[in-house]
Amino acid sequence: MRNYVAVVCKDESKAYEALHALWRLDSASEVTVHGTTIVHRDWLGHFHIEAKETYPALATAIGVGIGALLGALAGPAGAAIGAGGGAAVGAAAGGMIGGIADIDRADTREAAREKTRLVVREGEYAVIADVSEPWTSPINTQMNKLGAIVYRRSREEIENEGWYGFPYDYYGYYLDPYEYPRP
Amino acid sequence: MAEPAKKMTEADAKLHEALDQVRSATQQLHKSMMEAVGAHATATKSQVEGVIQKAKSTADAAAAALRSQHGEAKTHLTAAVEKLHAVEKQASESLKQSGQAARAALDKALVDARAAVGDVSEALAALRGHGAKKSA
Repeated sequence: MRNYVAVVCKDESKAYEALHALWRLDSASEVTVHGTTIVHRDWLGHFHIEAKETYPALATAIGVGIGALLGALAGPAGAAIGAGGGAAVGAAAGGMIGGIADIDRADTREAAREKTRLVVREGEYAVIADVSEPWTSPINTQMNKLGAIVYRRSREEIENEGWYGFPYDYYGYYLDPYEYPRP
Repeated sequence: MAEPAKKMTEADAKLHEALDQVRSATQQLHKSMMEAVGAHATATKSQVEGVIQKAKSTADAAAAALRSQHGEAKTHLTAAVEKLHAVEKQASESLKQSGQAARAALDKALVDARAAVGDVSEALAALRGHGAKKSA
């Protein structure tokens, strides 16, 4: 089954361990990983996407794409937040991309807590992945060993929601299609 | 509960190996394009020529692997070959253009390269049987 998975970790080193664990599961043919990225929620509540240096137009596109996926992973409440402008994204100097998915807006906070499938608190990291997995247990088992929390939504469910009217492959497009080392 | 591993025949192993190699080559193509083309608003002629060469060799490798694939894997791999040819074409086009037209052609090449990696990984998922069952 094709799923989008978010693995929430307490710190950066655990996030990279989780990233490498996912690609190891791919190498072992336990799952097939189509793409991954790591996002960090800073103490101001903003999401920063770990990405290679990209020129501004591409950086903005990546930020928008990942912001949309974060909104979609947050479920109907997150999608509503994103559609309301919460997934606004800008590119900053040095190749760091600042994506903002405003899950803390007061008017939607309670609804998000009730319905959300993805919660990344301030200071936390999340590995976002697009995977084909016949069983959920390989990823769950590995990530539980790292003390991480796994959130999962089926690609079909997200794409059927079509809350932005994005084309079929939009959400996974901006995920990196290979493993990368910690900078 | 994990599914017991199925015994893989030698022929199956060769199919997987061929597809693994194509995936690796396609990932490398995208990675080098991101480093050369995705990081800057401009790319040098030699960088673009490198992309064209790599896209061509990757397309050839994918086309060779295609001959031994079947079903859904073959469908996805066929799509990947088409996109790799599109990368080659768009990158070549960028050399004939200048300014924004050259940049637009390179951006299209980058989009096609990313899509090609996606097609190959979908082919691999199909070959591994990861798409057919319900999650448990």
